[in-house]
Amino acid sequence: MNENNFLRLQHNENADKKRSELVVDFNKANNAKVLDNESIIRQAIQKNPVEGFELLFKRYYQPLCSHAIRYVYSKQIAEDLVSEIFANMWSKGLYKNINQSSFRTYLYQALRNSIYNYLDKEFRHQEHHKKIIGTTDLPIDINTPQTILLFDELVLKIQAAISSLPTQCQKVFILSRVDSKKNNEIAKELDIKIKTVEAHLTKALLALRLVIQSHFK
Amino acid sequence: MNDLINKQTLFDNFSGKSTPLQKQMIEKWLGEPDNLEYYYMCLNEWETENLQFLPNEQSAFYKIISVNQDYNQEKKQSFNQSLIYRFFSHKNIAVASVILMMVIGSLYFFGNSITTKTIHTAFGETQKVVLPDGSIVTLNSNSTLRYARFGFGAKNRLVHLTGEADFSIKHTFDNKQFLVNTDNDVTIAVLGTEFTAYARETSRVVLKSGKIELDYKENNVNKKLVMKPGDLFENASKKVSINHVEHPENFSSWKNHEFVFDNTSLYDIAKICKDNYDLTFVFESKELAERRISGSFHAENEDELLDAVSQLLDINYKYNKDRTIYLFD
Repeated sequence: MNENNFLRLQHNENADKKRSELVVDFNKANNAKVLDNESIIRQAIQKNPVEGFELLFKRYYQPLCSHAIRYVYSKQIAEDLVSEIFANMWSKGLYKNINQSSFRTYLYQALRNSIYNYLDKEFRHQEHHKKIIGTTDLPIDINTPQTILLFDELVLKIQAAISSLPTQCQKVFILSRVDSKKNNEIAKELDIKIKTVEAHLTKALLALRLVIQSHFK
Repeated sequence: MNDLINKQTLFDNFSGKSTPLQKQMIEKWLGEPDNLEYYYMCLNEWETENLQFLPNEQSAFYKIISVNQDYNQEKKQSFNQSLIYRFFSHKNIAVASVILMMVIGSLYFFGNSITTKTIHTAFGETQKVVLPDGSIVTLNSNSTLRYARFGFGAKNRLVHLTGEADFSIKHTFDNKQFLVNTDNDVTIAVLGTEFTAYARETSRVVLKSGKIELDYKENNVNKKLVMKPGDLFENASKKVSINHVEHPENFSSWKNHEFVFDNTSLYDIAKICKDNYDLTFVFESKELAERRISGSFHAENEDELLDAVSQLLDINYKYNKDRTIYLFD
């Protein structure tokens, strides 16, 4: 995917228009409770766990990865976080016991937890944190209405922070973080010095760190 | 109130288009646990419409499933191990130790051939070898090149040469050294160059382009030499000489079955024939061996070479069965 597309939370006007036309219908659906479109998956899991689990995985893996990368800015880490949730679900047989909510809600909540933990560890110096508080527990409950909205806002703040960087700096950051390219490869590709690549990365990561730190304060 | 929060409101929220007032309303709305389901349904739909990248779900899925199968296999293994344990608690342990010793013994003898790749050329044969790093080595006849089958180029690129070979070394982006070891205590260290190395009873290194570093022993003293293009290093019977040649490429002309002689004595040609074709020359007289020739010519095999040399010097030769050649006027 082109990196410029990535920088924008893509939204095209046409899709928006279509959506507004459909608002009335959705309202009806909303009032008539959320349609449970996971019944097929649940039936499949009862028949054959492996096949059912595969259906579940294929329905949500890509959107979950897409959600994760908005926060962690790395294909590799986004996929790792999502895979870990599914692996955990599978190895512990959790997929049999999720009856309180939909799989979807469970997966997105679990993912947001993982993302939060990752950002906390990566950008807020967890070690330092541990010394002061003496625990690695989440300082906030991720599922309160307030934190859900804060999480929605965080992604926009991260987005804004990255877009405000100089173009070359953005390019280097995306190549390094999103595509996990090595510094010398980036230097070759953009025809700049490795030192310059390092400087751009330091700058971008600092911007990201500041956003995340101030957000969770 | 609830009617005011719909998919559009949530989508606006995800893409950062909602007003503070709308956000407040969503927050209140989320206070009702039932609405969480709707919220995440919309989030999923929004993400599906705005995918940021396309991860390979097939390989990711197999990874998860296979990790889990490993887990099951581990269980089976621990069960097997207890069986093995019971099996070995008897006299069988003696048999096992014999088998173990045989395995270790065979590894000791054949281990080298497993971990090392060896390429050998027969007499009269030349072979082009492309190394894992893209470097090209052309082996002259009766030569052997050895290098690590696994992990070649992980730390440095190390090969061992017996015989004669022409090297065209690729420069790696991380400046990994290419090392050529020989039996004669000569080590050649390069980054990316072209050179020809000869390592039989005597050693010879000719540099065509770039720069190489040479480690060698003279009277059991370790010495170092930095060679420039055209430099010719020779170590014959413990005498080291360093000369400069005009046409270093002549030293690798054998690659194209060309022979380039520049005031070369028949004695030296005899050595080339011994190296490449395992032919032994017997001279009628000492003077004959001292005869010299210059020029270059093409010879695909030993017969063509012998014909050319004998015609040039106007001498006769007789081919014996034990691969000796008798030369006379």
